[in-house]
Amino acid sequence: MEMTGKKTAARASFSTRKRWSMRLSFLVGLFLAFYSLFLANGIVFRHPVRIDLTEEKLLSLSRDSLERLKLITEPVEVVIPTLLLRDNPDHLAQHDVLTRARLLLSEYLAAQPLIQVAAEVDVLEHPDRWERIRAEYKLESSQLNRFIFFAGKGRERRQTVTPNDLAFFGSVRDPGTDVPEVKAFRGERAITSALNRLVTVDRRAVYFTQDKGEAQFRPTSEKAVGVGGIRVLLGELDSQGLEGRPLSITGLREIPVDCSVLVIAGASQIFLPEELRVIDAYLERGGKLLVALGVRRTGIESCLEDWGVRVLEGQVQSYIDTPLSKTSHAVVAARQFSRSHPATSIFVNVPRFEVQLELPRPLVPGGKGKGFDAAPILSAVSHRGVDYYLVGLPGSRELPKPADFDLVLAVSQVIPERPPPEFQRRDTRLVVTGSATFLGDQYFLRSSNRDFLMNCLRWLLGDEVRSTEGGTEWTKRTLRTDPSIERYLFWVPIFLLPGIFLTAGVLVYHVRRT
Amino acid sequence: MIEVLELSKSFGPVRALDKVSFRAEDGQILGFLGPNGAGKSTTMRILTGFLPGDSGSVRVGGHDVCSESLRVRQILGYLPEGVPIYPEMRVSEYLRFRSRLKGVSRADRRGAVAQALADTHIEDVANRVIGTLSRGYRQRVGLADALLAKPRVLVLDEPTVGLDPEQVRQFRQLLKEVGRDRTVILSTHILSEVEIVCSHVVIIHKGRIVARDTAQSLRRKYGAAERTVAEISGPLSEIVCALGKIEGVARVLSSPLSPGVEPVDASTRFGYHRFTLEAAQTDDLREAVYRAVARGGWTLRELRREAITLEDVFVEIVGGERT
Amino acid sequence: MSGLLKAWAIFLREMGAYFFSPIAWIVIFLFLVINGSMFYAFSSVLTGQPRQITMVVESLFEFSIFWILPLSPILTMRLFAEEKRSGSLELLMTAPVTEFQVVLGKFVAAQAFYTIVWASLLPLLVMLEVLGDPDWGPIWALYVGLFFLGLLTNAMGLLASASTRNQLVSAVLALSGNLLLFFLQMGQSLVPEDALEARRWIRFLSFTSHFEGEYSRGIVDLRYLFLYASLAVFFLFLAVRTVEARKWR
Repeated sequence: MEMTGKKTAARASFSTRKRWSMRLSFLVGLFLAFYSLFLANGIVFRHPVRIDLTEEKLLSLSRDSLERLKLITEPVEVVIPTLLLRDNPDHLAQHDVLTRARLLLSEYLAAQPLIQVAAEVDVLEHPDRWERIRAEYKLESSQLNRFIFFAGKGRERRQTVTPNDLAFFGSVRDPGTDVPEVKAFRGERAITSALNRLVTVDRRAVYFTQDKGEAQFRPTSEKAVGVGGIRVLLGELDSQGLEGRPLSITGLREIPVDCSVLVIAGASQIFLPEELRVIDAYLERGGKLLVALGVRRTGIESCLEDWGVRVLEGQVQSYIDTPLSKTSHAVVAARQFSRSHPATSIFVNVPRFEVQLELPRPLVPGGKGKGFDAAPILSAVSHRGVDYYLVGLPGSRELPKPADFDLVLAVSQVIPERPPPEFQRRDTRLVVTGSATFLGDQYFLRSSNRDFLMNCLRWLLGDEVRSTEGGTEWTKRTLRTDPSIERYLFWVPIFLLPGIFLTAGVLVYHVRRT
Repeated sequence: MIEVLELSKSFGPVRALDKVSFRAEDGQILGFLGPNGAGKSTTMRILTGFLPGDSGSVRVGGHDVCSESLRVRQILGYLPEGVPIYPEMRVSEYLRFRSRLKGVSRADRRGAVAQALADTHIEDVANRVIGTLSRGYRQRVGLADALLAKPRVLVLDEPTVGLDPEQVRQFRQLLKEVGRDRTVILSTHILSEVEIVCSHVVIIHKGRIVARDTAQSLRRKYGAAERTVAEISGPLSEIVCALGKIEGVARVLSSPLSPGVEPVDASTRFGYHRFTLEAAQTDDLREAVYRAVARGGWTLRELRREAITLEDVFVEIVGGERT
Repeated sequence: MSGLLKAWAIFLREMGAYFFSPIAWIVIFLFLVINGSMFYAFSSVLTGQPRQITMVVESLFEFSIFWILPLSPILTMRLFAEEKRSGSLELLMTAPVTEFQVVLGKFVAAQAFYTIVWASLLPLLVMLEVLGDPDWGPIWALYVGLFFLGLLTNAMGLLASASTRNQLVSAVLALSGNLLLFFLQMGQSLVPEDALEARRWIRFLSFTSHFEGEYSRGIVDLRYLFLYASLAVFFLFLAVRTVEARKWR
């Protein structure tokens, strides 16, 4: 038990110095841990990765949207002014849609950090703030319940997404009290296209032939022959990043190279053979053509026949047979559409789809072909109460047998499953409609006319894959109602399940005690 | 095996250990003696690495308890004071859990548990829930746990508290068995325990080591000392005087028995007092006391000899050190 | 490897402690009775006609989310405070185990039991599957969120338990931590509306808004999971240090 002081000092287990160094190392460790916690989360905060687990991928952006978001290279600001008056049924419906769309917008924000919500303001709660935002962003006081996107220096470019863009609303009996039901939601399409319009600088040209009595850029008079003005359509094209341009086909050698789609809407004068050759040459080199036929033959029919569309003589009219009245109408409501064709498959979920055509000329797929296939995408089908007849002239008393008619055909190349080596792909696409009235100013915004036409244009432009993706249906999942099931709903969750656990607990406790 | 050098430890202003040094060799059973609050448990906790000291060094099996704590804990079995073991577990479950914790391999686990159960004679309660066991059994479960991984060092803090005499006897027997091939440190405040079991003794008081010795020499020093206690009724000063005059009495201490509760002697109207006489030698003083009482005409109602307790030894030792 | 085995031993013993004590069963029982009653109410009356499953699921979790507040404190308050009070920590820490192994074992046990409590709701959701066709996406998302949030709250509770010897104090500490996180969302109204970055951060940190905005819609944002997990690691680190602190305090 002899021990020297030196020995003790050399191998002391405990000392004040040791203790202080341990305290210090704790503090340093604490600081480092805290710092790395902050750093890591600071980095992660900027890089959202979101996984959508819903069955329908309601909140997943389609590949197209994501690709388009990649094209955004400048900051985009979003302003969301909301106003919810509880007793206003429209506001309630809009609120529902905007809430969903706001969730979807979060996905956009997560995918593209350049998009930022600059302001979300409840107009009722913060009127002063709303005033300031209005002044800053130059907004009208009525621009409420919508997403407003700004881009560019001085925010000179803006795009708006309204609840009507985001969803289809059903009609209501009493607009004052009934809340319109949200029939379908198409938030992704609305937001993506708004962003697309916002950032697209170079616009694609859509040429409208103008010298064969077609629908006019500037109508000479309200009662112009044919379909009249198409200003509404042009405005719509403008908002979609397309530019409508007039084209005089007389003496034209070649359709302009920058022509994305050529539109012949409601021509009433005869096309000369040279002119038809120009059009045919345009189609041969992969052109896109939208023909909305006028009431008279113009010679374009023979050109269409080369590409697989036969136009029948006469016009279709509808005959509505109700107990009170039997009347014939020039307006034909076409409701039957192709569920598989990309140009119309988007309307599968739309509750009431209807394109109103005035005295359309019936179309039949066929003709010479050239390896192209003409698919009927819109038809008028007779059913109880409404019949369709083919008549030579409007107002004719003699009624032939009612029948079904194809009114719009879409033409594209048939691509065999295993294309032979010499197979040549051709991008040529045509859409032929039996009537041109629906794209005129008077009718364009009625029924589904606008949606239908714009979607046909997208298909012609080759955007159909993109436009049909997204726009997922918000299905309603309901619980079966059945009195026998009701009992289970009461007994199982409240008594049986907790009872099982309680019994198990008592058993375990009993077993452990003995 | 165990080497403690100048170990000090304070809890705030209280100095729990003051430069404590001792060592225990292989095969020794070291008794760590001291009254409650002397610093026994603190020493044990520092030995096992649960608490740190303020200064000094502690090595167990050649390992430093601070820097090589895990190594130390691997060769050490510890039975803390009060045996804080999980009440909701069964004995065998508890031992299996502890053997896992102590790194006993899967193959040896069953054997180790069975051995520990057999060593401590608790096979009969192996399937009982610990919370329902008596204190003695719990103590033995704690000991079985300490023995589990065949530790080279056993640290037992007050292992016989709460045991009945028969259990204490068995426990001491057991301790002798297991102490043959390992180092055992055993803290206690009962002198007899040390006498019976330990080969070496360290006495600690108020954080200081006051004696280091073998058990035999300790017994020789203090074992025979005794005192005589008498309860007498009569005039206090006279009695003290008379008792003090008895030959061989070193000191007389008197304490009144609480008045009111204790009956007053009807004949003398004096209350009873307890007198404690400490003898210088180991003579029997009882006869002399009786004679002194008889001479004074007082009343005597109790007269007995008492073995000296550890407390008295401490008074002795601490007093001796100070002078 | 042997280190993990020791943590495993602690885990087994803690799981035993949970299931052998009546408290665990009572907690599950109460949890199920209350949530079951609400489930009945939601599925039969409150969601209107026709009864929409999505709304039933949403309402059920919107209600039961409040269990997050007391659950972790109840489950973790015992873990260290009880051992300190009874002194068994001394026995535990003088066995050849490191503080990290002990903390890990106890934490995993608390997390496992927490998961079991939440999983006890699954039979109700299976009932929905029988009676209709719920979208399991949001349900799994909610479960993922709950699990990772549990990592955080359990780690916090463990730290609270390690820093006191009184179970009640531990529970109160952990509960106040949870409440702080829970009401962080309210802090958004204190920040001026123009301070977008600050608001974004508050939203990032406040888990109630994650449940409202993301999980119940079927979205799992990995950022949040990382946030919870990293905070949990931080608290566990602190808990290990707190258990160690007796050696240098």
